[in-house]
Amino acid sequence: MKLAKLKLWNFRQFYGEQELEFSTDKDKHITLIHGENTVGKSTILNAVMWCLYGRCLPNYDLQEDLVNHHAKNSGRRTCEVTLEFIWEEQLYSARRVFNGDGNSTMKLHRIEDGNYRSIEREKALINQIVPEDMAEYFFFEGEGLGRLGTLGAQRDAREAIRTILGFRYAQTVIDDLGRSERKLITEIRKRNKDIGIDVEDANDLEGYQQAIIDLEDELPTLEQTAKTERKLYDKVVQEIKSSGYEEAEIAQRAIEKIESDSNRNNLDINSVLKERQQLIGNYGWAVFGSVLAEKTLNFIDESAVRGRIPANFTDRLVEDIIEDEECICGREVKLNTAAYDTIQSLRGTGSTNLIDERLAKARAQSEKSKGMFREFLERAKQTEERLSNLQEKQTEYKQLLAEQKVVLDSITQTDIQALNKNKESIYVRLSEVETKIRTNKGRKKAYGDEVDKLNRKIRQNKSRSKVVERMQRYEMFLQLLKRRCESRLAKFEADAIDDLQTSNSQILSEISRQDLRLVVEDDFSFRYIDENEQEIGKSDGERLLVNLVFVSCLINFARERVKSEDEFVIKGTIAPFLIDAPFGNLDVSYKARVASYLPGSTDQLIFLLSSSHWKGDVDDLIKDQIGKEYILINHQTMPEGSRPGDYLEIGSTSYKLSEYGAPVRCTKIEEIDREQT
Amino acid sequence: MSNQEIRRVVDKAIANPDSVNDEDLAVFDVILNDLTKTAKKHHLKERQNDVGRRQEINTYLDKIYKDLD
Repeated sequence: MKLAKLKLWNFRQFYGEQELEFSTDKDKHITLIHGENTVGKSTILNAVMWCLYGRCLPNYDLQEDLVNHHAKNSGRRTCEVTLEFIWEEQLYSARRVFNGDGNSTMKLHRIEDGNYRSIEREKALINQIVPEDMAEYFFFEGEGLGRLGTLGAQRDAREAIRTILGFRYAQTVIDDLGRSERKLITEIRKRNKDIGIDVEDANDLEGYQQAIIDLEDELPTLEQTAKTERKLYDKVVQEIKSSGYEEAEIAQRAIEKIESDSNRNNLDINSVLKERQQLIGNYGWAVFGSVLAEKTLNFIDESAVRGRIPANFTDRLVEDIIEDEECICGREVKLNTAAYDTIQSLRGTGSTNLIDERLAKARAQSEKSKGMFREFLERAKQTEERLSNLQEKQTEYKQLLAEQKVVLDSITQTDIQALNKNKESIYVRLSEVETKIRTNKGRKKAYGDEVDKLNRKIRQNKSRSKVVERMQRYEMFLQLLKRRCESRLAKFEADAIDDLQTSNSQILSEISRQDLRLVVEDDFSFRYIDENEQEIGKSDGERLLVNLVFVSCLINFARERVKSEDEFVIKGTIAPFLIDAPFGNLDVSYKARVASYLPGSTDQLIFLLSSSHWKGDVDDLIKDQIGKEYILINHQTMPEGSRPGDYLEIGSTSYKLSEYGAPVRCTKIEEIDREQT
Repeated sequence: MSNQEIRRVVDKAIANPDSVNDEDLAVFDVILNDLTKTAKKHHLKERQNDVGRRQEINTYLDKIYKDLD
């Protein structure tokens, strides 16, 4: 950035429009602005600050009182500053207007072939060129150094230094990559949790499959046992039947018959139970529909409603009106009257048929539901009756069986008793085995269902785990990008810190009386220490010196990187150095050293000087590099001769810095040309 | 930068993250240069710079990664 032109309009001491151009010449890059105290040197510095950032420097008095007093007395409530500057070979114009209500607005334009193109994010661009937090270094108030002395320890300033050095965007990329990576990790964790269930599922599946295998292994043995027990049972029964004891034979045959009948009855009971289950499945909707119809549709058949549901009107309504010879509005509707014809013409145009059709459908559906419900009730009743009969029969069979067993048990012959006892114990064993077979078959089916369910789930999870695997690779890709970005940035920063420390220490070794050294920490906080490793004192002169050196080194660093080919960090920039009272607190010797050093460190140097700053060797040291030079002339309304005049001596020429008897009290800017004088 | 090279470095890192050195990581430099350029572009031009920038960066990285896949 190079400042090109400053226009002031009714801004503080400057009445009407006053302007000055800054030198942008490469060889003669110094602009000097001379003025004595109170005439507006600090105002020029603050005008630049205010135009760019909407605020003045903290030490500037009466910041709310920006409008020139004479202009204000003439009814003006606004003032403005326009600053033209060059950045990346483009000319920009920043224009800030003080609105009179305490607020101000700034508009930024890029000037291309005389055309002004508006810049939307004016603040962002200005901060990109010269960050506001660093502005007090580049637009430097030499006399107010006490506060700036701690700037190196301020977080905002540290960030600003990193911005100036071109590291902001690489840091943004690191932050963005970190953010994307964190989001991805959260997503992976969430999905991994599902995969965790997958592992449990796999274990469960293995368990179920093993259980099925075990059951299948056991089943043939059980079936074989059942078969054997059945054979034994049949054999014993046969032995009883052919035992030769008539009573035992009769009882056993009766038992067989009862058992056979009971088994058949049991089959019938199961069949009726199934039928009952099916009934609920088949008629459930009808039960629900009927209840719904009962609650919501029955009103259709109420006499007050039947046939009288209007759309916009119904044919039935028209018929009623004609029949009653009276309209719903109360008018008479007699035959052969206009009202009658009008009403009659509506006949057949109402939507009665459609409504009737819909109602008929709703009614039919309602009736169907009710009919089905009645059918359900009827069949359910029949089923329940059959079931009840069968269950009663079963109870009877149990009783008969018990009676016959009592008969058998009461037979006193030892061999029959032994056979009967054997039969009972075989029966118990057989029942146990058959129960186990049934249970195992049931469990096998249930486990088989679980296996199917888990297999489906695992198949889904397998495709999901492929997605997670891809996400993990992507996360690694982001992690590596971030790692590389951090290591590159760290290297740039280390080089920059090294460069700043070296150049600062080198310059200070040439111009400072003390052996001072700059220490920049990794986080860009900085401090100066002396040969005893102690931080330097609070002498304004010394602080001014080191701050001037620090900023000039920063400007120089940015300038060195203007032609950098590396696209990773921002290319360097050319920054101006505008200093009010640059030598204010420096002694004569320091003044000369700074004056000889500063011009070489920056591409644009603007000094705001009073005659006291100018004394010594300063002029001789910089005069060959001066491109533009101005004096600020103090116009006073007091008559000529009422006050002593101020003069500035440059070489053999004397310039008058005050005018008396002027119509308006103000400061005027006047360019001077040494070569012509 | 070649996709093959990037894939190789990612695979190497998955096998052992510590085995990846600066020389390996240099394959990402072109991508990083593009990303910083995007960050700068959004900082200067876009109103919703944070959201817009992140979206553009993610789209760019997604595309690169899809090509790698």
